[in-house]
Amino acid sequence: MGLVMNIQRFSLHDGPGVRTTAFLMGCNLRCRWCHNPESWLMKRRMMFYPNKCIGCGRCLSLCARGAHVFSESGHGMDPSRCIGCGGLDACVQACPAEAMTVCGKEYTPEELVRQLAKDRIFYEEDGGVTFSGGEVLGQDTFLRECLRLCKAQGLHTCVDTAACVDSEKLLRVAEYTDLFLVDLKAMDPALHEKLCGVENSRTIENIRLLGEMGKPMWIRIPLVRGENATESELRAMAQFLRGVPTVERVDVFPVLNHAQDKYRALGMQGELFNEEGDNQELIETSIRILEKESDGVLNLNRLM
Amino acid sequence: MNVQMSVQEIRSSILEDIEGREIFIPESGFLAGPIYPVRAMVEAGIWRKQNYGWDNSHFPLNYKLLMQEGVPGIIRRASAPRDGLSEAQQEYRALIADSWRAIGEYILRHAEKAEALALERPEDAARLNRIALNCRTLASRAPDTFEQGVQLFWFIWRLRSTYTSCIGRMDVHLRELYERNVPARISRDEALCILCELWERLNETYSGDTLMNLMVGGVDENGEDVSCDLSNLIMEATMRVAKSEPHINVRIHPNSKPEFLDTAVRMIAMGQGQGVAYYDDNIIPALVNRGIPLEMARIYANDGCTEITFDSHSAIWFWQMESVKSLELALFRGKENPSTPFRPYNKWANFGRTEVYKTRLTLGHDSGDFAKMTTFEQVYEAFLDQYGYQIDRYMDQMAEHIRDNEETDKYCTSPIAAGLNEHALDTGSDPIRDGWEVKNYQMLSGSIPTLADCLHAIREGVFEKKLCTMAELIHALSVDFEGYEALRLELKKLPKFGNDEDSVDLLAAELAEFFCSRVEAYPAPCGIRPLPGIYNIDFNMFSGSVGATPDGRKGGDLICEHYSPTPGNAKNGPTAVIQSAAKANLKRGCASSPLYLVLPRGMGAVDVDMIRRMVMSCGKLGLPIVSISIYDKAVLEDALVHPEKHEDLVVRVWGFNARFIDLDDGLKRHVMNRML
Repeated sequence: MGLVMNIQRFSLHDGPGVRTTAFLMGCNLRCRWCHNPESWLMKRRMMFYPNKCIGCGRCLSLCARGAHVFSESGHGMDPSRCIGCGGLDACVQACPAEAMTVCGKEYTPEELVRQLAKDRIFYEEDGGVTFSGGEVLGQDTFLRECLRLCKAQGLHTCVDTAACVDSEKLLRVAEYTDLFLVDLKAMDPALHEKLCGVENSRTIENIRLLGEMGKPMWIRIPLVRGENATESELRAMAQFLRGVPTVERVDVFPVLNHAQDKYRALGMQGELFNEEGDNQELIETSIRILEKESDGVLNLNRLM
Repeated sequence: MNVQMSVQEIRSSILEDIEGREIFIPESGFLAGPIYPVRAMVEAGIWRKQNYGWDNSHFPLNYKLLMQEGVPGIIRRASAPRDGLSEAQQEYRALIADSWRAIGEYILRHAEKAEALALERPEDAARLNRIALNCRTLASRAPDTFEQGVQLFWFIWRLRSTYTSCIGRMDVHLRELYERNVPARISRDEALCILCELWERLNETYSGDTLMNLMVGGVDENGEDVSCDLSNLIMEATMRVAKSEPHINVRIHPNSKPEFLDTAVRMIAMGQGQGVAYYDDNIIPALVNRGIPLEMARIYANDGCTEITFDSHSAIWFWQMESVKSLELALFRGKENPSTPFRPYNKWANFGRTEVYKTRLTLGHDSGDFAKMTTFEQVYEAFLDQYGYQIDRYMDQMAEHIRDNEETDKYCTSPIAAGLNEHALDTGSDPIRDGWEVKNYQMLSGSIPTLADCLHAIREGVFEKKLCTMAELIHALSVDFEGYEALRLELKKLPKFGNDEDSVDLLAAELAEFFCSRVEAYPAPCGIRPLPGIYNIDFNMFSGSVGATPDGRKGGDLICEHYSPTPGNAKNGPTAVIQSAAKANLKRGCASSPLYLVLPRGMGAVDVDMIRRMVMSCGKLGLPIVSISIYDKAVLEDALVHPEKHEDLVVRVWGFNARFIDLDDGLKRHVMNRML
């Protein structure tokens, strides 16, 4: 069984063509701008949106532990008191207003691939299925089986990963992966650790390994002004990537702050990035550096 | 317009009307003939009813015949001696001939005025003399040039109706003139400019629910592809002008030429809803199956909205059933929900008369006491009893109208429309009774997806999850969910059509099948078999007069259009919507069963190739008609606040494109909420 955060149909940003993307739960990175903080833990997560609450009090009467509190300031929830009764579903099912939702659903590989294949008529030759996360390689056994089933059905497969894992995990899925989408967040190990919580040597090693294996890759660089979007970082990225023969394309995009609602729903505080300045200019400047440093070898692509 | 007039009344009215019409020579360009802008006339209160007899303007006239014969040719045919005609037939032919003589003289007066102006303004004489030559030619014979053909179309199209009217297969009608002239006498660019001038003129006439539907591509009566360079040019003119008129519709089939498809997809990717796709493989066999001769089925076009007509060979009459209201009448035992809000509406535009819609369903039919029903099967059966009853009553109305048309002379067709009907020209028979090769009557019932959402909510909410009893549900509906907000939200949470969920999608498919079967089973009035369609143009009117519904919708809130999801309910993206729709046999609703998709502009990779895939996949999945629009929601929101900044923002509504800022408030909400 695998734990899946979400299935997104008509996905246009996760590889070529029209795709369906399965977002798997669990991640070993803690990127400070992460858009999917609900995927970090390898377990189902309660998300609470107090602004949707209509004050019906059904959850209050259900919860023996007092996790729900109603006061003059509205409905509050204390996650430390929640013991996840009914697999978290008790509150969710009781709530008419969808103020509480649970993130994470278990699938067998067969069930998941059945869902992913539903839109195959739209995929044509280049579209298909993408597995993303979280860190998708955290569930490498499940992922490998899903990929195998996809290939048995003739579906094009992408794996979207930060590749910050042991190489053997990558090798386990490579056989059934047509294209890797690999995030490259920083070249400097210390900076990578500052931004993502872990250093990056395995990412670098794995990108090199995929290149040696002849596996096509699209590299994705999230730009954070003043952090990785510096001349020295971008030059280092370009120098590294130009030496990897199977990098077909490099996508460059600014980190945006779209996930603030999710952080709040998880009882967390999200950080804000790239609030100041022109993000289009950020992209253009970065592209110029990458282009120059790679002598035009890299196929650079703007995502906005 | 169902204008009941005698031949004598029409004669005096039309001759006087054409005689008194303004002669208009433009200050620039070449198209002579006045515009009569509809909105200005409505707002100034000088709307003039056109008393030419019956013509609802919803169907294309035989403009190909017009191009071949010219005005003099029409007059000659209507005047040629014929033996064995009754006095009434002779009188009707004379009316046609005299009306078209008046048209010829009207055109000639334009030539004379242009010539006089040329003498007054030597600096503009070349242009004015060109107009004069065009008009003089058209008054004396069939058009020689593409420009004259377009001029003739404009004269007749504008004379046909004080309002506006359907255009039909322009690439078929004008192809011969185009190919005779381009590039031998004028360049392709010049031809494009001619079309663009016509497009501008159409937009000056009116914008929105104008009936100005034009179809390109498809096959001829022998099944051969008709798309040509003119088809592409028509689409290019639409992209260049980038306004709401005319509304372009594109017929697609396996042998459509690549350049035709490429141009069509580029036009659709503009996002204005231009280029509604009609799939020949999913439409023609279904029409044949319903008794339409193959040759006629092959030459279909759409009418002033999205319904099927048979280009140049049929008129159209259609009735719209209210499916969601049928459920309301069932639940309230033949009465309306007491909390029905009766929200005022304008049919589509934000100007003109505001009205409150009153249901045209038959009140008083009791299908049982739903409050006491204990299984979904009982509810469903009782609902079908009410729905079937209401369909039959609508069919009764249609049957009565068919008998009026077939067996009486209550309606007399306008001589302008009859002049482009060969049978009427030659025999003097009114086309209503004996002239259109296809008697095109249609019974339509849209909003079935909202109906399915409601019935599924009863099945799962009441009988499976036991959120409430039937009695409690009906009471909650009767008070518009006041005091039942938690129940309302629970009902809204249940699966809804448009998310590729079999539970509700298959129910919708079953309801669509029921409707089509019921229409088909009705004894054919006068031997005429009406076409069923899963379609409604009046969903905005209907929604304002439907009370709260079991899907958690409050009274007056939006219901869906055609076979599309209820606005706001589709959460899984466009492919899921398409898959939901494809579970129904929409081909059977051969009068028109469209799916409307609205994509957000901000999704990034929506490009021409993506649109191509979507368009082609819909056809493969068996959908007959699909409209794809792409909007930027932020722009629509800004247009609500600052309409003056968004005068060029064009959106698709039902069978037409319109400027967003002109729409009725209910339709603005509808357009915004159906975005996926």
